[in-house]
Amino acid sequence: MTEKDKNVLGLLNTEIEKINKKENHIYFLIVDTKGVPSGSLSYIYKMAMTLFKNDYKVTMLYDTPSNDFVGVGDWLGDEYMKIPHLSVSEETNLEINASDIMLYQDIFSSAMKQTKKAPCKRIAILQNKEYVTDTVPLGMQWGDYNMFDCLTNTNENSETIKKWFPYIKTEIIEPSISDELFHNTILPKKLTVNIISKNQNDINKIIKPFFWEYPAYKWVSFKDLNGLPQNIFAQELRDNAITIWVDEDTNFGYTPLEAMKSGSVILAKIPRTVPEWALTKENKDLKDCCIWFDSYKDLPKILANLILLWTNDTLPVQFNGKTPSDEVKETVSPYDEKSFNDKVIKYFSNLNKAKIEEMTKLVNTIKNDKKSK
Amino acid sequence: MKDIRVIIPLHILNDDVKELITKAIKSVPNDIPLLISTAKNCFSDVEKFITEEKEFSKYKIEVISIKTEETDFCSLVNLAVHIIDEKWFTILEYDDTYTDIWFDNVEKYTDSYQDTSMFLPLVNVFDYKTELFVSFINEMAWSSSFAENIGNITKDSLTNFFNFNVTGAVISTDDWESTNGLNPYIKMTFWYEFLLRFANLNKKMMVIPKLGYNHYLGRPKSLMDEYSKEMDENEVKFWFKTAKEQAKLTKREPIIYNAKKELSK
Repeated sequence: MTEKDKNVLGLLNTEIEKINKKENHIYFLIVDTKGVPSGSLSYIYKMAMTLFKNDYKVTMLYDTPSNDFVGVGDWLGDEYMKIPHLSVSEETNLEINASDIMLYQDIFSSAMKQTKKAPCKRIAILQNKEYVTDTVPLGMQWGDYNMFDCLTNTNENSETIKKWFPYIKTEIIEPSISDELFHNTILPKKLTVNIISKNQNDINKIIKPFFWEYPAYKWVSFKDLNGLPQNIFAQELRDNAITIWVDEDTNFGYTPLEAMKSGSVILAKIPRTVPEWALTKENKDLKDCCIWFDSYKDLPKILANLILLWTNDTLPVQFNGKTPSDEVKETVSPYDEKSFNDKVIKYFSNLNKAKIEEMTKLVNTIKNDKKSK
Repeated sequence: MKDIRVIIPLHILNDDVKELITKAIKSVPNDIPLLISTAKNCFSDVEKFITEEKEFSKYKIEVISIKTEETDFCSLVNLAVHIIDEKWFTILEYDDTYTDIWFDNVEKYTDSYQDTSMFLPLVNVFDYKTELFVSFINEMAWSSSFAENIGNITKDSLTNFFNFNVTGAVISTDDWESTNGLNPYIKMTFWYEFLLRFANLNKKMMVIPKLGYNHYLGRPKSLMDEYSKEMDENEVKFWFKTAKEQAKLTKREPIIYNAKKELSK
């Protein structure tokens, strides 16, 4: 056996040993939303937190100077900032080894390209398909960046990416909605209407016409929940009777699920892409877990009727043989934390196992080659 | 709901009143006892009507009479609250009705907010003649501009807003007694004075955001109809000013409105 072979075997054994001791790195390359809450980012951080709590060596990588980095502490919680963070724009000597795993947020096509020769396992996290169409140049695809694995949050995303890039291997981990943060309370709800929309214009489009068309309800209070820290956001969902959700570009729609778990009645504007959880399995109709509206011109009437029904305790008790609360329970049940945590651990543990098997095979091949020679 | 009494003050009984009070009583759940507090002049007629009317047989209704000649609303209510043993009471005007969801909601809220002394309903106001919806009352407590603690009526909020309907509200009997109930010497603004006094003594008041009470506006010869006919703007102002002053006092004395004196100020 040559010195070179010995060195290779030594390196492989070191990497195998690192994986066995959970000392290999798991890097998540993320975007800094500058303090703006984001469901997609929270999905990645929750995954990282699950691994971090289970003693995996997790690092969040971001591409801005550390002085400019805001992070998620203010809205997702300070505990998430305890996960190690590193600025890739400052850290030029980041050493990536074969045992490491690098995960890229879907927006980072350019980083996928730049690191296509990295020796580690590389995985794209797909939550928003539009980022793929927006950032991968015409004529290129993930395969050109040596990207063959994808972790995604919905079946639909998985099917779409396989249609686009048939060689991609996907794994679906549905997001979790925290039971600790989002739960109902025994206290009666307050008659306040939450509004969740990224666009301030939407809020004006909701409130002003409502007061103009229904002056008898001018006393009804609205609360804009945009940008609130997650614990206060959750408290408002828990406290208030009605939540209006507008997010035309949503891919997953975390907020209505969080509101459902909190017992708030949801008035939802039908997004361009209806989230998977909002459709019935049988015929892909909109589920009755939300009250859906298509146009702002209908909203004042729908809201006024809803308030009247709520103040009279006459909200419909059954749709198509199911109560709205049955529909809500059924809709939120796949998104429990335990199942999310279990799936995350299983996925990463399988990645590690596969890497060990791959490296062990290589070790054996080198040894057998030498013996046979 | 347990441990509650419905009080109906009544100073007159005629065919119209009989029809109205029948409708009012029928809006009370069977398991809640009622107390009709009458003026001396109509006690026996009321007692006879209640005993003989078959529709009331499933209700537990007690009729009492004030011993003196007073017929005013405040004195009839004060007397009734003074003699009941229940923890809670609510006043039903004989021409109003409860909604069928009110007492179930009160039960939920009294369990959840145990430090609160009064739970007011959202009130549907209807025109007496046309029976058409006119407006809500008590709804302002749910306006974010009204009070810091939304849904609650506080001392601060009462300084700028007075239009609350207390009939239909569920009130702690002990707290009512400790604040001496309604001041019978105040015309028109006696409820406002009571709310101010309740708030001054830091008693918590909350509006349950559920439509719990139907109030009919503009019934001829109703108390407020009479006041609006007989009082000019200056007298109305006088009673509001008086309510604010009296709410701070413990001693009660007769109050006379002297138009000349008020105008000369």
